[in-house]
Amino acid sequence: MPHGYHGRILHVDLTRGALSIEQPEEKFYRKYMGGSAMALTYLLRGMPAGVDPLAPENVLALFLSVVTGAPISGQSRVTVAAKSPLTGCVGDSQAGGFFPAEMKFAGFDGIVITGRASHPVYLWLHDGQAELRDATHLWGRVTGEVQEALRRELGDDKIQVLQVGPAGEKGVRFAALMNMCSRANGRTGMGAVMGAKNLKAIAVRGTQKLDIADPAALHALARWGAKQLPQSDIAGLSKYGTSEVIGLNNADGGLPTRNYASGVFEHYEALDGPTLYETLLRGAAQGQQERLGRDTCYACAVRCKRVVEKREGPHLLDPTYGGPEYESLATLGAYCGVSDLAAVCKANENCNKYGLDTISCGATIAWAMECFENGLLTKEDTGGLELRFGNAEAVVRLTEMIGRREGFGDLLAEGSARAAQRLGRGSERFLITSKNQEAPAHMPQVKRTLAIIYAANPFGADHQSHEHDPAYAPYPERMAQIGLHDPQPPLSLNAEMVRYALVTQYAYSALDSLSVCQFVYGPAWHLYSMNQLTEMVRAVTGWDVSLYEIMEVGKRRLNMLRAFNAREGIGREHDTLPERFFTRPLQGGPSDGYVLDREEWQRALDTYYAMAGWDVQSGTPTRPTLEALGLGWVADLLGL
Amino acid sequence: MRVSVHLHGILRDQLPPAARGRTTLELPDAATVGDLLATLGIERHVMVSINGRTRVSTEHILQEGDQVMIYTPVGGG
Repeated sequence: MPHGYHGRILHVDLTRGALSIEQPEEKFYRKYMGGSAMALTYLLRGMPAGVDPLAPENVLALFLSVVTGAPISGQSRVTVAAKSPLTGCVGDSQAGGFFPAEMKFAGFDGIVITGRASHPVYLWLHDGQAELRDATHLWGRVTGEVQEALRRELGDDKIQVLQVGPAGEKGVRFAALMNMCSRANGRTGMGAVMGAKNLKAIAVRGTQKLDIADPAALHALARWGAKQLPQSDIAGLSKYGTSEVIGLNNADGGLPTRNYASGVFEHYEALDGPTLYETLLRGAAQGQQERLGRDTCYACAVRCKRVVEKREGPHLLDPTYGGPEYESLATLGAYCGVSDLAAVCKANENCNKYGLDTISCGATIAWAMECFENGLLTKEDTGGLELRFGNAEAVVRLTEMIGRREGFGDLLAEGSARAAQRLGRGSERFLITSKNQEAPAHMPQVKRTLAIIYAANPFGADHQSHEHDPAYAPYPERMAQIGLHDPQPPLSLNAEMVRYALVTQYAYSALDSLSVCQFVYGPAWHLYSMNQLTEMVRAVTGWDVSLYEIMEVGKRRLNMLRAFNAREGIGREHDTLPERFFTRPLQGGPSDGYVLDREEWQRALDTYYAMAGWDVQSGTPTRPTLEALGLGWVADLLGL
Repeated sequence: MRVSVHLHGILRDQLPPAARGRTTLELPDAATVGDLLATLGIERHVMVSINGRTRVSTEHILQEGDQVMIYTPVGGG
């Protein structure tokens, strides 16, 4: 009898309308644990190279892990993976909320979706049962409406809904999956994949309690975390959410401003966590924001989510759509030179309503703004929008137009890289992308190991794939747990920092496979250390798990991501950074003059591939590296 | 000597709300960054910048008129 998981994976063939249950053995769960690693086994086995990401043959995999749904902070997360329509590489994205835990309670560990339905459908999972139902009446409707409609139709307001908004239906290349209308599997365009399959939503409801191996041990760990929270290093995250990172990154000279021209935004304070807390969080006017303006995920004590409300114009804000994270404030705000917090919150609301990745959306708008500022776009192109940095109304308007693929929004819906290709006029030089995915709001010029990760990460530029540089020095105990003992001076990109990048990338890959929150568990400032994560997995599953084993799962996951791309013919030549990171020094503030050194970066990449056990010319994992991880079957698929 | 201090995020809670994280402190000559943190009652892991120069260590000796920013190393978001 498994503890923590069901041993049931749902397979959905939308073309035939057929559902079936797979019941893998325990050793499959032990080896991959869930989340990203488990999803990747289905992507690798389930399709050949060369599949069009929007075609029925693309495999869309949604996976929980062996600990999802356990009564402790930070475990309710789901990975969605498929081939990405934005990058053409492997796509991978995580989200939190209540959907993941509810899906586990509904009796499923994962869902593997292939084919395309002949008309819009939704999947309804409830207490071990699964059925496909007509969604024609839901197609075209925004997330808030659909969530409400499904709860009424199915007669239970505790139903959790994961859905694509109109953006996913219309194939916006950075469309997200939304749950609770405010939690996003945002990056890599997984929403477009689901929309292309005519799958509008997955509704879940379950009463199947998890069988925990050692409830007393788990309870002790959960209580420790809740008690520790106020004096922990994530106390700020609890009070302000990630919005406090606006002030932190700006102080550090690392808040990308005006399409990555600078690391400081003169109006940062208008977008900062404390300002959001005091002005727009629900309940702020009555001093009740602590209670009314924060939200959380299943069983999580941290309550880092924001809920905004504004009942008078302009920019009415509906609490249904939650509130902005740091990345959203940065990309819809600082990247665009916009300091109007209500407008940024409205733009964020539109993204949640239509189902858009706020990072790619804001960054694509910022790219278009720089084009406009340099005369490469005119008001005729933009449908009359004066697309200058600082134009808050234009940002709000464009999020809607992109979500609906209307007018100029239709071009931007392709993502900045394809939009630049279509537009021409030299607009490619303003791109800030890696593998066609827009760079998030943490700057490689300031935190140098991001230069490796943004370039080499198999699913494109990503900020939640490793530990950032400043965390190495202050946490010697926790870093030692994963074998790191030698913090380096700031701005180093030497062998030790490459090692730091790779080892913490293994750790974060493990977190994404155990499908846990990277604010609650991790090797540095997190609430729980990697050793404590190991204790948690032991308590839930009853397995005598070690941190070594967990790190191996992370390594396995990273190698599978890399292998997927290699099979597509994507290798080192695609591990690039925007040209201007090497040629355009940042302007102003503590990072004034910061620019990357191309040769240093290339040497760092050489070291990175070698340390990872990948061929240095191609970036492909070697057969011995794969076999050392029990991935000989992957080496076979690659014909190595 | 006097230094002006700007605290970010949760560190603002070391000061009254009306201060919005900003204050000026009188410190003995040759006081270090470590002394400043102790005066403010800050025990968490923090990052310090002085006059726009980041990653200053706790042993660094402060000067009259220094503008100090103190913030936490939380990443992500």
